Amino acid sequence: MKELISIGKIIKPRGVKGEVTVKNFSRWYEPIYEAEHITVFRGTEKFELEIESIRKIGDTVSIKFKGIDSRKKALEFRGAELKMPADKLPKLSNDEFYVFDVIGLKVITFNGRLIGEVVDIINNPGNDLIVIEDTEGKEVIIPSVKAIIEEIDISKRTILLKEDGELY
Amino acid sequence: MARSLKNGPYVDSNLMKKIEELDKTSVKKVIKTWARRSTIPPEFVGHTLAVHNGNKFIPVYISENMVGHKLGEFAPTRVFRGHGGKLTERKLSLK
Repeated sequence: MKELISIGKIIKPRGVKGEVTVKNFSRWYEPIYEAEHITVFRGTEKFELEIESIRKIGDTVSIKFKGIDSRKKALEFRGAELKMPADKLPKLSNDEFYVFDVIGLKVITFNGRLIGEVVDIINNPGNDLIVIEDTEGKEVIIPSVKAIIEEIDISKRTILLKEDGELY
Repeated sequence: MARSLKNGPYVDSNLMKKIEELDKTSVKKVIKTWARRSTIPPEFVGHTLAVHNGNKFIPVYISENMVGHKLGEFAPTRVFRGHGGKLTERKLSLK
């Protein structure tokens, strides 16, 4: 099964014809615009809804789903999360990676020593930081720069470091 | 009032000494520092400094375009976690 990624959340109904206002979690609107169906999670319930019409209003998106024709019905979906398969998201450049792809990767030095596993990414002004939980459970942070990282291989689920020196 | 040109930029002398020693030995080591107010001189380029943000040390790899800025600019003291759910747009850039 393809991994589903959260793309937005239904904030409130809009108007009386069943439209809903959606808060977009990203600055990209293309994945929502191009979609015909969207998976909606309301608590533990899962719905596959067909998009009838869509329009951008300010920072939000107003969506009319097929089968939701009244404000009362739209109100039932308040707070529901919209999800989409990861492969429908826009492609990034060679040296950019989605955080959900990077989390969980194993960090290995060039001579094969396992440092730990990526647990978080911090977007820092100078360079992004990779937060690693090492084999002893301690937090290790490394800057995401080519001088330190040899390659990030999503398919092999590894990050290869250039040196086996001191990390912070 | 801006700093006098006569004095030149402020660079933490202890940090400068440590960098010079590392350059002599050509050993790659992360240097811990609290000197957030120190200007980054060209000598720091290529080194990784762990700059304290009041809570923990943030490793900063010094690149050429950081020269002239202060170390503190690259170790923010506040973290904005954002409103709403997980951001799908969050991404990691390898620079």
